[in-house]
Amino acid sequence: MPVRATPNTPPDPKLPPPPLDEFLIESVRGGDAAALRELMRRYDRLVRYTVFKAASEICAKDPDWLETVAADTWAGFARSITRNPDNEPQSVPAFIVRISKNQVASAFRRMSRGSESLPMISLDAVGAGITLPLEDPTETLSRLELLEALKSCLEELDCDGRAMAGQLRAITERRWCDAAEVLGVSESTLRSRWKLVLRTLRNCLMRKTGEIVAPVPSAGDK
Amino acid sequence: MKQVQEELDGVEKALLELQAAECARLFGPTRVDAGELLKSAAAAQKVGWRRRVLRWVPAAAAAAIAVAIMWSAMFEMRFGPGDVRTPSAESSGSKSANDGCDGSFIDCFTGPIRVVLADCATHDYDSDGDVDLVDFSAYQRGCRGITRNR
Repeated sequence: MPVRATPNTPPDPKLPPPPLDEFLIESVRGGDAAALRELMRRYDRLVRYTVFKAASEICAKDPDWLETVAADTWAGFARSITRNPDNEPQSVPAFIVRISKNQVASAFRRMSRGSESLPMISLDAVGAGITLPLEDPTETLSRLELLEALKSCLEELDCDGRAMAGQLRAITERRWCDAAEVLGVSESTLRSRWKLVLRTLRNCLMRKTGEIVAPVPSAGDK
Repeated sequence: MKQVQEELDGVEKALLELQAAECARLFGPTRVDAGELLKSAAAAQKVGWRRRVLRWVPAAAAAAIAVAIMWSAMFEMRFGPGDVRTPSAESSGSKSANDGCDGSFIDCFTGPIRVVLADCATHDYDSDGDVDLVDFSAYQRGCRGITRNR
């Protein structure tokens, strides 16, 4: 199955078909910056999400880290493509994911050496931030599409729903009292409204991505 | 904490991930200039070409040294070291320094570099312009008894 790297939009029959990745790579080798821009437009989301998945805690602490590693990934991609003309990547998304992971590993090494202008975060934080990135680009993009859909679903919520989403940390840590106090409602009201928000979001995700996000099984389901 | 994670809904987990992603500015584009990237990639390629050439320099130097040694050895084998005199001390039993059996050989040893140090001409037994292992061999043969006695 081909990887959909860009958001899913129906193709316009009047427009010519977009150039294949292989053609773009050949053009990049010939020094065509527009071809590289097109590849970046297609796969930048994949790069950024791969980096984020590999080091989510570090990225959340310092947004510049993600930006730096993503930029390094594209520099590495351009170098790799122009240096090895005979090396034709089997799959461009998989190739990009591999370069992204290598750049994350290099950034970790630079951080542990402490000889880089990258932010100094304690090694414990680095260790805690390392999670195995998803190997399959299709799976990675599918998860990213879910997040993007969730983002737009949140915008469709009413004011109450968005206010509750603002108390996400307290709610997911099940500190219902704290969240209810901030929102000025009773705990039972918050619980029932939160269930409603989750159901709304689940339905919205189903509508946008076709993906069923399973709810947590309640005691009665067993 | 683990207990809490286990009972989270799938949407709640996605919401937490979304929150972290927004903190990390995941949804923006990477700010890089494609033209600049290609320029620096081309520059790196030039450096790579030089590096590839320079990588062979030590190997070429080692090969040149090996050829020089082989050529020197073949030259020696073909033309021989020439007449090699030995110190006459063994036959005469003399401890005279005239033939070089006075322990000064080691100070004069230069190896096959075509150089004879000052006052060391005595030890150039094969008259090839240096004090090398050929001369040492002659020195051993001629001065053996003498040095043992010393």
